[in-house]
Parts: sequence; C-alpha cells; structure tokens
Amino acid sequence: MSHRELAWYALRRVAGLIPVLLGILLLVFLMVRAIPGNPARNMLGQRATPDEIANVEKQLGLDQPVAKQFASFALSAVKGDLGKSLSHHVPVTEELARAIPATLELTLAAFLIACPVGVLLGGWSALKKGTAADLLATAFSLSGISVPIFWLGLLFILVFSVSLEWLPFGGRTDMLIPPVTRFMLVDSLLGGPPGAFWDCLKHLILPAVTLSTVPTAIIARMSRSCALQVLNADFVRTARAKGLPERAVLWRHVLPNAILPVITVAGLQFGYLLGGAVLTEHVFSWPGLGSLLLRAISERDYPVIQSAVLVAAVSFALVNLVVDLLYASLDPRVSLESNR
Amino acid sequence: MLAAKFRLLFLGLIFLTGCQRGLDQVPPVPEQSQVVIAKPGDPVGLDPANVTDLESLQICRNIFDTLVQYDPDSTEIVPGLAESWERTDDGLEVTFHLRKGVLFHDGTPLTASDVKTNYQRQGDPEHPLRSAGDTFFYWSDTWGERIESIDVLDDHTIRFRFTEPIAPLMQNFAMPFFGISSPRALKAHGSDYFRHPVGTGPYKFESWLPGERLTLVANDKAWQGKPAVDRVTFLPIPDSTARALRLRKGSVHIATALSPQGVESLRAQPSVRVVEQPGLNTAFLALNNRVEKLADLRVRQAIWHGVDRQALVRGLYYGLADVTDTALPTGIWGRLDQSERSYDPEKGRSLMEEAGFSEEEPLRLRLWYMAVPRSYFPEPKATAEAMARMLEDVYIQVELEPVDWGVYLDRVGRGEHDMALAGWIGDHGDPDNYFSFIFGSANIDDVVGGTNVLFYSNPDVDRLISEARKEVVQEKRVEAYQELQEKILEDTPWLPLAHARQVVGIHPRLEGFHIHPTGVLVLGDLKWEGR
Repeated sequence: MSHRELAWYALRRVAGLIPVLLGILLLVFLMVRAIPGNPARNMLGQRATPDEIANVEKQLGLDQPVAKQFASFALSAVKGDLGKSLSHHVPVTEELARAIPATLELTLAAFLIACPVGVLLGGWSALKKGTAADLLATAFSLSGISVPIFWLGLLFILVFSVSLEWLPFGGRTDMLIPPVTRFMLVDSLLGGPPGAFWDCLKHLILPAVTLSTVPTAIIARMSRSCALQVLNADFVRTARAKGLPERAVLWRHVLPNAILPVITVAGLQFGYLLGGAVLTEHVFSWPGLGSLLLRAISERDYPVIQSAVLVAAVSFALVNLVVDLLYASLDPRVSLESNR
Repeated sequence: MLAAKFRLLFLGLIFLTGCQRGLDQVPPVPEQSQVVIAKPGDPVGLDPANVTDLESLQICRNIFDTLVQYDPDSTEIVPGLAESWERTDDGLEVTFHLRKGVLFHDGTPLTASDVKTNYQRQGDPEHPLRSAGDTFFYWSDTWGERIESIDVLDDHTIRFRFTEPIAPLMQNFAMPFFGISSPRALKAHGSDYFRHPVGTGPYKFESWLPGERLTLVANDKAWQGKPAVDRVTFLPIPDSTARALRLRKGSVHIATALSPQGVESLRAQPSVRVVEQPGLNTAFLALNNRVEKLADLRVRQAIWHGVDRQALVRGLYYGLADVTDTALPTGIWGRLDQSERSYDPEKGRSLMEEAGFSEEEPLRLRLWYMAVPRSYFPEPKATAEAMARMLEDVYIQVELEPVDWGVYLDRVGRGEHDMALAGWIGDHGDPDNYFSFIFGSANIDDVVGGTNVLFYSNPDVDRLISEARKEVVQEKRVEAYQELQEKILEDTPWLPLAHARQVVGIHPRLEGFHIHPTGVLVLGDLKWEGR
C-alpha cells in the first residue's frame, strides 16, 4: 500500500470513529440514567434533606430535560470538562490525570512482557508440535487464561514479597517522587531521590507480570495456531523446496504471515487492559483507572464512573484504529479489499 | 515416576511452609519513630466540616480538636479545646472556657472568635469561608436552625445560645465534623483547603499523594504534649487480604477494616494483635407494622421466638458481634439489658396458632435483603436465608428477595417491604440518635422515604422521645430511655439482631492505640513498647 493510500485509509477510519465516539457518549450517558433510583439520593444516603438532593441533582444536571442533558454532557465532554467528582469534590479530569498514567504505565509494562513471551512461546510450541515442550507451553497458556488474577496476584505477593522479600507488596513507590509526567519510571529519573528508578521498577514487576498472564496466554495460543497454519502452507513448502535455510523460512516467510492475526488479538488485549485492570490494581494497591472505577462505583460517584467508562471505551476504539492501520500497512490485501 | 511425583509434592510443601515462615514471628519494631497504617481507601478530603466518610474522619480526628471530645474508648465527654464549660438549667445556653496557649499548626493562637468563625462558616451557606459547592451535611442534622447566637465574651470564653434545649448537646460538640480549623489557613487555601488542613491536634498534615500515601507528623507544640511517634503514614490498600499480609509481615503496623472471615486465623498469629471495639451500629429485621399480617402483635412476637439470633451471630458474623434486644449498642448509657424473650420456637408456634396459622396454612411474607454486605450485615444473603429457614419452624413461609442497594433505602424507606434486613449507624452514641430515627413517627415518610422503616407509630413513644430530648438532667434522661425501651419491647415493632464489632489488627509491640466506637482512630497516644 502506498503512503497516499494509507493516509486516505487512516483518514476514513478516523472519520468513522466519530459516530462510534458519539455512540459511546450516548451509551455512557444512558448507563448512569438507567441505574435504578435517584442518583442524587443514592449518593447522599438515607438522611439527605430534599434541599441537598435538589442541589446534587442540579450539579448532575438531572433537573434538565434528557435531550438537553445529553447535549450539554456531550459538549462539555468534547471540551474536556467531565464535571466534578461528587464524593471527592475535585474535577474528574484531575482524578483521571492521576489514574490514566498509572494504568498506562502498568499496561505498557504488561504488554512488553506479553507480546514477546506470547509470540515466542506460541511459535516455539508450533515448531515443536506434539512434543512434551508443546504440551507444556499449551498447559501454560491454558492455565494463564483460567487462573483467577486476584489469586495469582496474592500468590505472587506471598512468594516474592512475604517469603523471598525480593519485591514490594504494592503501590507504585515507597519514595517521595514529585509528579511531573505522572509516569513513575520517568518521574523517578527526572526528579526523584537516588535509587528511585529502581524502586519504581521493583514496584512495577509483580503487577505487570500478574497483568500480563492473560494476554501472554492468549497471544501464545493465537501465535501457535497461526504459526501451525502457515507452517503447513504451500508457499512455506516451496520456500523450503527451493533450498532456503530454515531460519530464513521462519523469519521471512512464516513470521510475517503468521503475525497478522496475532497483532489483532494483541491490540484487543491492549485495549482491554487499558480499560483498567481492576483486579490487578486492587490487589496491588495500584492507583490506576481500575482502582478509580472500583472506588467510584462503591461511592456511587456518577461523574467519575461515567468518565472512567468513557476513557476506557475511547481508548479501546483508538487502539483498534491503530491496530487496523498497522494491519493495513503490513498486509497489502487489506487495502485492496477496503478500497474496492 | 511416582518417586518424582512425591519429590515434587515434598518440594511444594517445603515451599509453602517457607512462605508461612516469614509471617509467624513478631515483626521488628521500625527503626524510626513512625507508624504505617493500611486503610481500604483514600480520604475524600481533610476539611472535617465537609466530609462524612470514615476514611476521612479517621485522619481528621488527629489533625483537629473539637471544643469537647469523646473519651478515646467510649462516648463519654471529656474536655477538648475547652477545659471547662457551664450549662444553664434551662439547657438553652452553654459557655465554654477555652484552653490558653493553644496554637494552630500554622502558629496562630486559638481564640474564641476563631471558634465562632468555624461555626458560622458551617451554618451559613453564604459565608465567605465556604467555597461554592460545599455541603456541610451534618449541620442540619445536628444544629439546624437551633443555634440562636454565638457570643465571644473574651479571647478565651464563648457562649452558645439555643432556641430549644438539645439533649445530646455535648455529644454534638464532640462530633469530629466540628473540629476547629485555622481561619488564616481557610482564607489562604480557599476551595483547596481540604488538601491543606490546619488544626490544633496532636498531628500536623505533611503531604498527600492521592492513591499513594498521606503523611502526618507530630505536632511538637500540641497542647496534649508532643506525641511519642514522630510520623504516621496512611496507605490506601483496597484489598483486605493484602492489608492483613502486610500487617503480618510488619511493613504496616495498623490495618483497619479487616474482613470478619479472616479474623479468626489472624487471632492465632503472634505477628498480629487483633483489637475489637463495639461499634455504634444496630442490625435489625425491619417489620413493616403497616402490613396487615404484621400488625398482629402475636405474629411479631412469634418472629422473635422463631429466630435464633445467637446462632446467626456465631455463624454469620464470625462471632464478631453482640446479640441485642434493643437499639442501643453495648456500652451506651441508658441501655436496657435484659429481655424475657429468647429463642423458643415452641412458644412461637403456639402464638402463631393463636393468630390462626398452622403448618398447613402458614403465614406468607416477603423478606428483603441488600445485595451487598454492610458493616452491620457482613453476610446479608446468608443471614436472610438462615432466618427464612428458622421462621419456617414458626409457620412463616418466607419469600426471599434481594434488592439492589442503590434503591434499598428508598424502597424500604417508603414502606414497600413486609420484612427487610436493615441497620442503623449512630453518629455519636446519644440514645436520641437511635430512638428518634428508628422509632419516631416524625421520621416516617411514604413519599421520599424516611428512617423509620418499621412504620411504627406510638404516641407514647413519640412523647417519651421528645421529652427525653429536651431533658437536661442526665438521670431523668436515663429513666426516660429505659421506659422507652420497655415500651418498645412490649410493642415488638421489630427484631433487633446484633451490634457488629469493628476489627483492627495492630503490631503486637504498639501501645496506646484506640479505635473509638464511632470508628475514628485516636493516634495521639501511640507509642512503641520500650521506647
């Protein structure tokens, strides 16, 4: 695909995102309104006076007609004004500004583990199909998908923090690091005390490994089945028949052809993780989007719930866009189909 | 092959015991004079006037002082910022004499006019020190329009005048919401004050990184004397198991809100001391007295005899609760202790037979329970199921219905239930705070939903509640409340169940820790053993 074609494709996909985002806004908006009961009263509890309820209803805009409510909600959301947290009295954007970098850092770390490990594991077990190694790898990926994350997290804490004392229990750091980018690893280098980077990295390892288990397993399974398919394809046999060394066959012919579906799956996983790794964040006291969402739900903090879901949905849509673009640039067949 | 399997199993066992080894010793006392506290969440804010959640109040209590305070372990009143006070016989006036030489953390001295400013700020929505959007929730409940005037008599004397006598007056003054802030800091920080609290308490606010940590440092000019522990750090750790593990390992020294399920095993650990404190909560089965079948006293009595409350507490509160016959939790003055009614299904059946029911023709009632646990109902679903099974023995066929917590209070408050699990958490331990809200007919509200979810209305009870509220002589109040409790026992409008205890785990070498019945942590007396 030429650069011009790719740009055109990207533009169309971005334009296509607008109705999706509007749909997301509408869903999130309706979601809060569909919760049974009066949100204001739910929030204030049994002893709220009618005045207090009216006040919160006004803050939530619940005293306006629904269409108007949606219009003003969508308009302010587009402008970046997501309202004020009802229980913490601060702008929601401020809470998100704290939570998103934490989640992003954790997700990226988990992803950096999941992608190479998953692809290698899957590829390896495809090459060794039918052997004990394949069985082991398959067992690993099956258990990776089935093991409950919170249990695994606690087990890791028990082994690596309690017993071996190698890694900290949770949180992002034990040091005081002035927030600049709010990515702890970066901030620790920018203005942290000596040893801060190492401290942050140690805090990141357990949650990242815990979070990476499911995507690693899924990517491994996908890689295995794609690799198997390609390994049996005619062109691979041809490549081998014309005397290419096995390494060249694998790297130049098998990998590029097997990796495409894996990218889709990996992208989807990345999107899921961005939505807030609720359980991992909970177990490791990681103050990210998942923790924020959990807290907001338990406090019935509707503006925060609304915004956290919005962020998760939007990032999912964006990740998908990136995946599709990547796909289009890697696989010439995609653009041909979509242009016709 | 088999041998290999056994070797693997053996290695696994060694591994697991290895995991345990780090946990069953007393963790070392930290080298620095500090205490780390694990709590399930962050505070909402640190302006005591504007918070209602426990996480915030637990911290605020140590930064701020009130005019009078609760004793650290009971709801009795002891001097606070005021070293003495006088109340007029009609109960309409109280004059406080403030301690001299008290300094706010910002160095300004505390005067009577600062106290006045604090109360005015809370009572008047137009006050300049009140930022937009502030809702001082407890003001209307506690004072409403009942403060007629606040007069500063001199720098250290202040007089409050009321429009009517308020029985729990001193308890009201001791509520943590009425902690005194530095007016200078209020002005300086405006709407950001909740992140820069300045009080007079034993600890000063140092820093707060939301979601990460909050640190207080000892106030070396505290009027109570400088605390023995220099630094207290609060960590938000949402997972109860993670809190317990860190406590056992010694990386935190106090862990609050431990799950009742895990407490039994913690108790056996030498690395942890479990502290239990009766709370101010009352769990009960709300009988809707307006429902025709429940209007019959015999039916309500049969329910009392039909439910084995001891068994419920043993099994479903993990023993961390006290069975009760009254609304007032253990340890609150005025509490009436004995009741003649106990678990007696035989008696229950005969009462039901008198009322016209039998095994073949049982009474059918719906029982609502909340879908999520509450502090006073750790296992609402199992509790409701157990109750249903017990009530079958007294010819009551129960239809269980879970109701979403979001609408629970609304629907129960409007009286849509036959029977419902319900609870009340007292604010300050004054009996009025229980009786008027649970039994007072003024708190029945079919439209918006009130707090009297029994829909119980007895003019005698209303009269006693109102008389006791206005009574100033303590002995007469006690008598009134005891009479009230006897009357309620006689009428049996409900089935009181239990008062759940609060459970906190602490380092075995840490001394001077108090958890107040209101759930607030009192940290000023903390001390490491031998230091």
